[in-house]
Amino acid sequence: MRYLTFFLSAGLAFACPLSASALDISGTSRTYLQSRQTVDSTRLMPLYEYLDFRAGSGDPGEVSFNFGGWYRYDLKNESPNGKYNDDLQYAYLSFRGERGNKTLNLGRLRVHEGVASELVDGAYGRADLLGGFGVAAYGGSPVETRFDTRRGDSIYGGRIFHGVPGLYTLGASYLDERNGNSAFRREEGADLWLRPASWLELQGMSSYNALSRNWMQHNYYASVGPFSGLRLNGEFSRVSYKDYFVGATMSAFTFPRINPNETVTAAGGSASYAITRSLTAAADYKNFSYRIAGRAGYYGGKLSYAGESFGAGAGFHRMDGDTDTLRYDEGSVYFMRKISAFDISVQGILVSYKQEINGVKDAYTASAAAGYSFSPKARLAADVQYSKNPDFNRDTRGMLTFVYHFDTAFERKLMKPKT
Amino acid sequence: MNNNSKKIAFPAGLASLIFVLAACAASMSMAAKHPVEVPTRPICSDCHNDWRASLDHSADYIERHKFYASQQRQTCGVCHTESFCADCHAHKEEIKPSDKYKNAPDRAMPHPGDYLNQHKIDGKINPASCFPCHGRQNNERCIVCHR
Repeated sequence: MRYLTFFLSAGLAFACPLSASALDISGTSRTYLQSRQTVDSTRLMPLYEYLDFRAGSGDPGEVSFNFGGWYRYDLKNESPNGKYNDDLQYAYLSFRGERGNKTLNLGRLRVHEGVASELVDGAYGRADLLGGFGVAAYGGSPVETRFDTRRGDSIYGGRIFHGVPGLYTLGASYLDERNGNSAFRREEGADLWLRPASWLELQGMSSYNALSRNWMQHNYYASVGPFSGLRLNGEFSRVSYKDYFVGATMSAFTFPRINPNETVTAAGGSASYAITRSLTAAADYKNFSYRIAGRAGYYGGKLSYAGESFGAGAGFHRMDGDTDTLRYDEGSVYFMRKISAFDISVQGILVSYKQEINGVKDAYTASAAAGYSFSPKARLAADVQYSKNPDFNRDTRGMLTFVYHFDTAFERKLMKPKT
Repeated sequence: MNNNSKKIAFPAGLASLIFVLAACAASMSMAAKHPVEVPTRPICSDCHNDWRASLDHSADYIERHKFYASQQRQTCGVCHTESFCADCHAHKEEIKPSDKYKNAPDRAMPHPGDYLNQHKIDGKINPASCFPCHGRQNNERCIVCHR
């Protein structure tokens, strides 16, 4: 909570004097009151407040402050991780240049640059340079689930790229993270976006573990179309476990729970066809082959309709693992309707496990939600969910949601000099 | 130079270098906001016939959005606020995205329904798909069992 308060006040203090004479503050307050039960049948009633806003317009040449965070307090009983909890999702000052897409962010921020997809307490900068080149760099302290202290932790890296607008972008990226002053992760990557024709797009990334000196992952995606509403996609990925699952802070991803000698290659494709502008049919298939474990397949299809005030969809997928314990069928249907300021939606999900889990083979979830918009800014909604699954004979949960969007220009009054 | 000094000096030095080099670039910066409001699932090619047409949020876009985010995140920022990303890409999150958006089942948010049991299968088939979101963060609830 003290982090939330500190970043909130510090950011606003910086943003206000740097902005123009009027300060725009726009954002959203979301309040959730949830009712759910734990596996030992304890009924919890957590109250959440999510707040996000931007102070400043964010326009080129301007400074803005961006904030997102939440706080939870249990009104009834206590969650397994305590009566209250909070998270500072992001809080940073941002400066955008008028030319060259220059950006400098300072604070708690998320970095997505090549191999980096990190939450960092620190700095991030990027800019377009001459001749189609560009550069990005970041550094600071990594924000991760605490598994030890943050003392001596650091992260830095960058990406350099070159592109011709509309044709290609090629990037090379680097990331170095230290934990307690020891080498934790050192990753290098190459990324690609290529669009040689308006109907063909290739994109992907390869990442290299510079500590184990081996490729971590290759992940590439091709998209062809649309041709009269038909779009085809192909995907390929290969992951080497001993090189990929490094720097995990959660035991499920550590060796030997994960077999370090395993490599998985996933290859597949999908086809979607827009029958009308609102009605789409799609089918997909993905094959997993392993160096040690065997193979698995995931395939299915869906049909969806998306109109202005009405939406509906149905889908079916099968996970076909090597053994019965790794097989299930999943089916889902949904329906949405908007009538004036009201909206309703219902959804049903059925998962049929090939082998019973806790004596249950078929797990299902049914949910219904209804909302009313008092204005474009305020919305009240409620939902209820009922499910039967291997952990709960009957699980009923519900949530009340109040969302308020604010977007206000505050005229800052200039202090008149004393006479 | 100790580690703390490096943490400050390196990013500061790089940031300075970027701004010096970028001073030569003459192209105008991208607008902060899309000039017109777009529908929930935008089909960018309705209006754009250049590279932006590839940003069509077609049914498979959820699979590809990671590539765009890692290469041109500021394009995403023209329409999406930071909180839009933070709803799923969280440091620590207690409400599943599919629970936050019960009114939008068409968005195919992660982990609807009883994912507690399904994750045991998906996690064995392809643990690499779990790792980006739960490997180093957003795993407070995972740790309850995975000690």
